[in-house]
Amino acid sequence: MSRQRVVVTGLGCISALGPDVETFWRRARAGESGIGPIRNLDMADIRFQHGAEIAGFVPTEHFEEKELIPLDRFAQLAVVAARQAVAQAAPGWTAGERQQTAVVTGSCYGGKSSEDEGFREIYGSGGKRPRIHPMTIPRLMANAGSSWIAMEYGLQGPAYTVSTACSSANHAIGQAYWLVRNGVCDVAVTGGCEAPFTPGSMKAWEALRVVSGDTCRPFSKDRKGMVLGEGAAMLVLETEERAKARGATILGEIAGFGMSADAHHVTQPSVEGPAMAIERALVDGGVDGGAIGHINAHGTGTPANDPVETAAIRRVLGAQADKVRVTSTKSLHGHALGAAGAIEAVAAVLTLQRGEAPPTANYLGLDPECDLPLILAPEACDAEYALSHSFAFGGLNAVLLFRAYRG
Amino acid sequence: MLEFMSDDILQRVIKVVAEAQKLPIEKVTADATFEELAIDSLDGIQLLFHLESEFDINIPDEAARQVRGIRELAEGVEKLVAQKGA
Repeated sequence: MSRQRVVVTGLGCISALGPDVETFWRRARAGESGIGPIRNLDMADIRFQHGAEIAGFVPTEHFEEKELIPLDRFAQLAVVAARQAVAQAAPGWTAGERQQTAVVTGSCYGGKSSEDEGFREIYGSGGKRPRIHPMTIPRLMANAGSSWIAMEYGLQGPAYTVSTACSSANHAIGQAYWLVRNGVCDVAVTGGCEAPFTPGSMKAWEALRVVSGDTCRPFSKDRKGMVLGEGAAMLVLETEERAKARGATILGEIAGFGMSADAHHVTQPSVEGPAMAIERALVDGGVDGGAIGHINAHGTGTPANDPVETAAIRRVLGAQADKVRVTSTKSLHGHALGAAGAIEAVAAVLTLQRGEAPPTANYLGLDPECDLPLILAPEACDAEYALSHSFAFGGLNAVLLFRAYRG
Repeated sequence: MLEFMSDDILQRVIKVVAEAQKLPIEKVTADATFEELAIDSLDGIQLLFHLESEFDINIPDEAARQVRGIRELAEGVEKLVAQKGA
């Protein structure tokens, strides 16, 4: 099996930082956080108040009323992001190529708001004709994002969804990357989508006590936890050969992918698992740790994640861990769970392509256990290689290796 | 602090911990630490959940994070129960 180089020719992103990639990047590179008080839910009975919601998203600006009936918010976001990515890539699919194009998405939750609403009707009906909307199952299935993207463009290649909590999108993009690299298909649409703001899910996060009472402060002293976010991001991947042949603008390259399981604890992270995933991404890409100039960290801002991630980076990169420039953009767009890796992939590709790195916001000062060279203000970036980390609850880790495309 | 602590609250806390952790109740003494009882952070979160139900209180994240043993846990619960009554 010949190994193809895999390039990114389209990006799409809708998140708390804005409705499209350019708005996302303008705000991200300036370190402007999209985190604020949650407005679309009654939070009176919830211990935390902040989230990273998409402001001003009007579904009917993107879909016909009737089209919206079977579409949960998370799938709407998936399609919106995919449209942006496909419009940019302009893949010029032939009928035969559409039959071969892959769609691989990540989602942690699936259509949680449809499920939550439906179940509230049933359990709260007091015995009066408890019923649930007939489109509840199609709305809540975690693969709805992949299905609707496939239908949107008539893509009939391998299509599926990966659900590995916070690592879902990185696992999805990694799988799509391998499909294209290994010649299974020439083009893939891949990323992640998530819309976690529902009453039931907020109560569940509150009970787990990992969400910050104020904001998200990755790697900072006095950090108090993560902040949930919503959004979707999609990438169009294709073989370098195909992109060059059709004269496409190449935005970046995926150069490696690594996965591992902690096999340790359901919520407490280990150093070993993430370190193995980072190491495997480097081996997969045939790159030495010394070549890594930038990391878009998992960096959730929880007391548990950040020191463990610091130790994992130090274990694999050695001396380079004192030089690599590290950021956690979760401080800007929140932790969008199954979409997180995809939003961060967009950030990583743009960091390498445009030579500027987005800072980590909300930093209060050094935690000696998180002593990485953090990006705390907008800065230039001349890195050739960047890593993007996702480490999920359940101890499932996925790391992508990106490369600046220089022909 | 212990002399002011209600024995009733301490005993109820011990009972909740023993039941939630599936521990023989005699092992859960007032002086036991979470470490001695092999209560990790995820177990701790579940204990808070059960204690909130038992005492009808709301335990804030910040207060919860500092607690390392049964006596501290019972003291914290007592404070919150007193605040609720106030």
